[in-house]
Amino acid sequence: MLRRNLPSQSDKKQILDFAASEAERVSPEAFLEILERRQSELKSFEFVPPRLGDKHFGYFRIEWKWPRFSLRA
Amino acid sequence: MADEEDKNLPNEEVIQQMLSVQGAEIETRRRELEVRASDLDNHRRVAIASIEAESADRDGSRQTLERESTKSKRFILILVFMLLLFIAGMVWLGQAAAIFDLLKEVMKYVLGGFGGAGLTLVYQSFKKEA
Repeated sequence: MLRRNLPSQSDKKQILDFAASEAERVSPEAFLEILERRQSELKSFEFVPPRLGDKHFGYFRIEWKWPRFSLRA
Repeated sequence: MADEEDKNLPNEEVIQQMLSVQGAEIETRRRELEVRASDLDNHRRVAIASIEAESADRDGSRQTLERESTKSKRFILILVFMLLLFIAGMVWLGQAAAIFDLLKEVMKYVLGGFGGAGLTLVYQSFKKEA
């Protein structure tokens, strides 16, 4: 009976750490999705081409019109 | 009184100038929008090209892996075939005992190799945990 009244792990308050950022680095797939859905929210964007030895095929550096909150790792 | 009001009103020349400035501003905005639209279109093309390049590269590496795997399988098959041919030749010549001697020598190295590979795996797993 006493056990049932004890707070479980899920009842504990969790503190989430968010960070605001206007600039972001996105993959070409994500960039296409942004162009389809949230094009008006974009302030600026540029393609960063791959260099010799890189494992990627280029990515996009985008800047939003207003800061976006993301969960800090 | 009416004359004073007329003096405060901007004359026709000023109004015309303001209108022309506004027109020029609207034209500039329109051009800006055109440039942004073309910029977006160019970046969309770049993104599609990048995705296609990545998928082509993935296909290429997959094909290379398959080719390499086929090559190694073929090599092993040829090796086994030659070994069987050698054994058959030795048996035909009546030297079957020599094959067992040879096998004994070879097995030492094979077992040593397996032991070494096992030890390396164990060492790597310990290293990962640490």
